[in-house]
Amino acid sequence: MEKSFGIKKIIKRIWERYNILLGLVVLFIFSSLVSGAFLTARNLLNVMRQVSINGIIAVGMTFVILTAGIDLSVGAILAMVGCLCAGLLKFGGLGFLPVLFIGLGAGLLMGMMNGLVITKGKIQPFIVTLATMTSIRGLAFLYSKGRPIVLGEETPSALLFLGEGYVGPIPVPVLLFLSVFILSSFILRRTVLGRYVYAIGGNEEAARLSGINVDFFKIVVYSLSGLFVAVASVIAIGRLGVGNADLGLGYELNAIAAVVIGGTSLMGGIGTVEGTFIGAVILGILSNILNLLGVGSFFQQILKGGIIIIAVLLSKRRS
Amino acid sequence: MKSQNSPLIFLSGITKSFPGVQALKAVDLFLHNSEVLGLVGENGAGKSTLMKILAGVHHKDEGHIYFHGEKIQFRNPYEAIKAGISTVYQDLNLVESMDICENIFLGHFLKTSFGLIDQKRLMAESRKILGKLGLDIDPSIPVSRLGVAQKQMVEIAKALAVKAEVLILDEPSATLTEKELKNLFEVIIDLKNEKMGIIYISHQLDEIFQISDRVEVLRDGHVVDVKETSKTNREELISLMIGKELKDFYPGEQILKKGKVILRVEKLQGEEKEASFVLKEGEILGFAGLVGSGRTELMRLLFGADKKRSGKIFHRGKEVKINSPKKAVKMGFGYLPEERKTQALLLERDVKENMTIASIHRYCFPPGIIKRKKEESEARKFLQRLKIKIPGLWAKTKNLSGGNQQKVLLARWLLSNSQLIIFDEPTRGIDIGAKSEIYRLLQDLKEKKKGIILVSSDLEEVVHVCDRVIVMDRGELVKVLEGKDKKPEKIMHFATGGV
Repeated sequence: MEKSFGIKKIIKRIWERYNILLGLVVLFIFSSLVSGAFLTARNLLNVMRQVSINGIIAVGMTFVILTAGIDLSVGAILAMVGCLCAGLLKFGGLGFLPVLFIGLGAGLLMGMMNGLVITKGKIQPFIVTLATMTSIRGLAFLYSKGRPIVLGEETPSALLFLGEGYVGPIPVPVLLFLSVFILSSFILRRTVLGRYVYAIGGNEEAARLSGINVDFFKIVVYSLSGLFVAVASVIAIGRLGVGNADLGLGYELNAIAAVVIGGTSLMGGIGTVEGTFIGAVILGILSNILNLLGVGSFFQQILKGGIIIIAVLLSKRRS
Repeated sequence: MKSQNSPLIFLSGITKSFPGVQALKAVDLFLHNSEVLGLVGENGAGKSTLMKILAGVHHKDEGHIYFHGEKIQFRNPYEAIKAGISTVYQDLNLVESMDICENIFLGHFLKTSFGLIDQKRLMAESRKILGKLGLDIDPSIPVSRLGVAQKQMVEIAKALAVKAEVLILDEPSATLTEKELKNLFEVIIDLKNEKMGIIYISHQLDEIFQISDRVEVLRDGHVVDVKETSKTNREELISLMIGKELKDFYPGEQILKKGKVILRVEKLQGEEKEASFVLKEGEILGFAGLVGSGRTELMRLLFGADKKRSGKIFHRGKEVKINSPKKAVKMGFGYLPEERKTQALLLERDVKENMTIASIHRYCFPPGIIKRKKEESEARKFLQRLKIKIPGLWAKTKNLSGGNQQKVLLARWLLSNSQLIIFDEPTRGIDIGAKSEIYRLLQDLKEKKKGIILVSSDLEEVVHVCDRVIVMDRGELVKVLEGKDKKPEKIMHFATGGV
């Protein structure tokens, strides 16, 4: 009796800690069993490449959500940065590198603007980023005159490499995703910024009374989210060869879904980018296997919603 | 199984653990009709956990609960309340924006035959219940307009509305004035005469002796003793609670060695009246006064947590502009706020992170990147120095007792090398053993020539621990007391508008 109690406890603890990972493993095994096409290097790398854009955005979103915030403007920033880069390349006569830096800088600035309005205006992040989501999307349409900016043959080779290239067998977007992920994991675990992010999300007043400049670090976090979105945007235009104001519609929800499936609390202070990584991969595998099985996209959406609820139920058990 | 003299409530062998903490070990407790059971013990002894299990908030790991001799199991607070066990928590659970009568009948509104809320009966019944509690207020006013004591009565009214047979009062006196407490006791006696069983939790032993019939003492999660209140005394209870004889509760008063002036405040003003005072090295300066006299507001102003309107602050002779807590921390100030959980602790983070959050840059190289070994060894030093009894630095602070939480916060400011530390009600809700340790630590800081400000509502504490006491009344510094004048009666005199 005593002993089984102990073992039960240990299993419970492992389950509590790693249930998202177990979820991923179960999904992986299931997928391998039901479809022969799933478990091939080509398909798996393909899945990872498809995950990359959402994954990078979701990692930035994790920082924001850890501070008990939200960033709804990521999809719009993705489109704006994409249009800006494509436009500058096509009509601005600038080389790839200056455009890259302008693009990243623009993403960072738009994020910073979110942070500034949220902290200095003392307005809820949901409202601020809902507003900027709308405005930035409008700006993207205005800038592109509502038409796709097609680079086509004019796409610089470096940009093509970022979007479609390979290093060995591994797609470059996947490498970029992994880099952003590892960097973020390091930031959250080992740096002052990471500590402060958890402190601010866990108890903002306590953080402030400990001498943390809460406003400053919130602005940093939204800037970081904007910057990561810009990275994702560069990958997107490299892959599509088009800057389009329609790009990234609904991406904010995909990113939030990955974060939430990964066990991060929308109340802030609890969560990891490792969880988000797994969350993004789960979403990627799910749509991949459903595609392989020929399940229609309408039905896929229904399933995705269900998965989000199940994931949150599981992570609630943990606390 | 039902018999005439079986207890109303019988808890048998209740065991409960939280991650890293064994909260209760095979605890027994029984309660009869028409009985007041006092439940005492240091913080972290398990009183609240035990009551929360009885109230359906927590689930026991092992053990049984019998109610009227029948084994029961509450899955949630609602089931416990429905069965007749009501709890009034220290931090009350009222819907502030709703009317008194709506609060009283929340969850089981009286309905008309059409299924709509029967406002008339709601009001009439509420009036009846409030009358029983000697409360003459209109049940249609919102709860937000009531004072703490009245809110507490509304909580008790809620219990009466569901015809509770067991009433648990968790630290009901913490925020009450003497008169309000007397009124509460009268109500308790009335309820007792109507066959209710009452469990009364308090740190104030005087109250236990006034109101209880029996008293159960918990220590470290197990029952140390159960006594008939009339057959025990204060000293015995205290030594049962802390597990040793009570000696040197307050450390010997020290003669003030005149140090240099650390802090001079001139006409500092925020929302309240302006304040001026000085603080010297190695001095403990007390701020006494009633709740709402503006002590916490003044401390927040001093620490840069709220905006000041005017006034100057001099730190070691030089004027300093403190417009944010960040500036204050940089200046070497530390602040342990009144509300530990909401204003100071990162409850979901571990002890180490809570300790180092204000000094994190000290363990970094290159800048911004934390050297974890260095951080950990520094934190560990204070684990030992402050005698913090926890499983390890990885324990989440939400699972610690109040005393240990307070020590973790003190470590936070010692690690950031604060020269001036503001303690706002540091011993509130803390058990006797931890209290005396905090006093010892204060003396220790004093010897290290730190400047200390102690805000406290415990007059004995202020008088014994502080070198000088500033009395505040309605936002104003009204009197400085030292030497022979430093007496509880005098403080009370000036705090209540005396001249």
